[in-house]
Amino acid sequence: MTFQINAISMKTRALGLLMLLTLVLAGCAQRTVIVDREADDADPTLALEYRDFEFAAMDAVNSLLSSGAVDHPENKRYVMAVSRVTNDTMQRIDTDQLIRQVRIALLQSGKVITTSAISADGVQDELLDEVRRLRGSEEFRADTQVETGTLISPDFGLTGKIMQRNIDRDRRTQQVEYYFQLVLTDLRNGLAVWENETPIIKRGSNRSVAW
Amino acid sequence: MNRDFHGLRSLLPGKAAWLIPALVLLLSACATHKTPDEVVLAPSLTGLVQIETLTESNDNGLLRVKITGRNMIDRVLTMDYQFDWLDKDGQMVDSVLSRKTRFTADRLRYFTIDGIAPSADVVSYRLYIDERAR
Repeated sequence: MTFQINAISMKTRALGLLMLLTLVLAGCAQRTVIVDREADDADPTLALEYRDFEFAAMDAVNSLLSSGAVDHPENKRYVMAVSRVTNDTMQRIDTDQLIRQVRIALLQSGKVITTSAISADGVQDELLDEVRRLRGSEEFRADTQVETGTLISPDFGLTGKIMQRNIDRDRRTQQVEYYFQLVLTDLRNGLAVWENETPIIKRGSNRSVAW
Repeated sequence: MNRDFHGLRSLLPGKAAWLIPALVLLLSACATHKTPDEVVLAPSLTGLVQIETLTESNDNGLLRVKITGRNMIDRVLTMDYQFDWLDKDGQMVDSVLSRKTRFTADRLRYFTIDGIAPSADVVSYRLYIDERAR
C-alpha cells in the first residue's frame, strides 16, 4: 500500500516538473515580431539582408538620376531592358531583390520604363509570345488580336553583378565585403553611359557564417 | 561708437543699457548659423553639427537638394539622414530614396548630403538628421 502511494507521488512530481520545464522553455522562446522597416535598429548581420538591398538600390538610383544619363532631350521616357545580373556571392539570393527596387524607382521618376519584351534570357514575359501565336485564330475576335510591329525596342540595357569577398582579420574577426555593381549600356552604340559600385563592408565574429 | 553707447546709457536706466549690445551680439551669432526650416536636426546634435549651406536645383525635372554641414566637435559622429519627399498636397511620396541612410562625419570636418526627389510630383521635402547610437 505504502509502495503504491509512493509510486503515485513520484509520478505526480515528475509530471509537475515536466509542466514546469515546459512553461520555463516557452517563456524563454524568442517571440516573433513584424519588423518596422522605418525604425529597424537591429544589429546588422554578416549575410546580406533587406537593408543592404535597399541601401544599394537607393545609392544606385540616386547616382543614375543625378548623372543625367537618363534625361531624354525631348522629355520622353527611355526604354530599358534588364540584362543578366550575376550573383557572385556565397549566398543563395535572387538578384531581383535589387533590380526590382531599381526598376520601381526609375519608373516612378518618369524617366525610364522597363520592357518585359526582352531580357538576356529571351522574352521576359512568355505571354508576349503566346498572344502573338494567336494571330489568325478564329477563337479570338480579329480586332482584339495583336498586330505585328507593336513591340518597342529598348534604348538601354541594365546589367550587373553582386560580389562577395571574405577576409580573416584575426582569429576572432572576419570581414565580409559585398560589392553591388551596375552598368547601363546604350544599346545603339554599346557604350556604357553609367556605372555604379556600392560597397557594403561588414565585420563580425568568425563564428558567424556569411552564406 | 563710444559716444553712441554713452548716449544710449543716458536714455536707459542703470545696467540695462549694457544689455542691448550683449543681446545684439548674441542674436547675430545665432542668426549666422540658423538651421534651415527644411532640416530637422535631432536635439542631441545641437551644437555638435552645423548646417552651412543648402542648395536646391531642378535641372532635369526632379528636385535635387545638396546640403553641406560641419561636425563641430573633436569626435567622429555617426548619423542617419532621411528625406521625406512631399507632393503639392503635402503628402509623402514613398520611395526607396526615402530610406534612412547611415553616414559619418569626421572630427571637425565638413560633410555633404545629396538627395534627389523620386518623382516630378515632389515639390518640397524635409530632411531629418539623427545621431546613431554606437
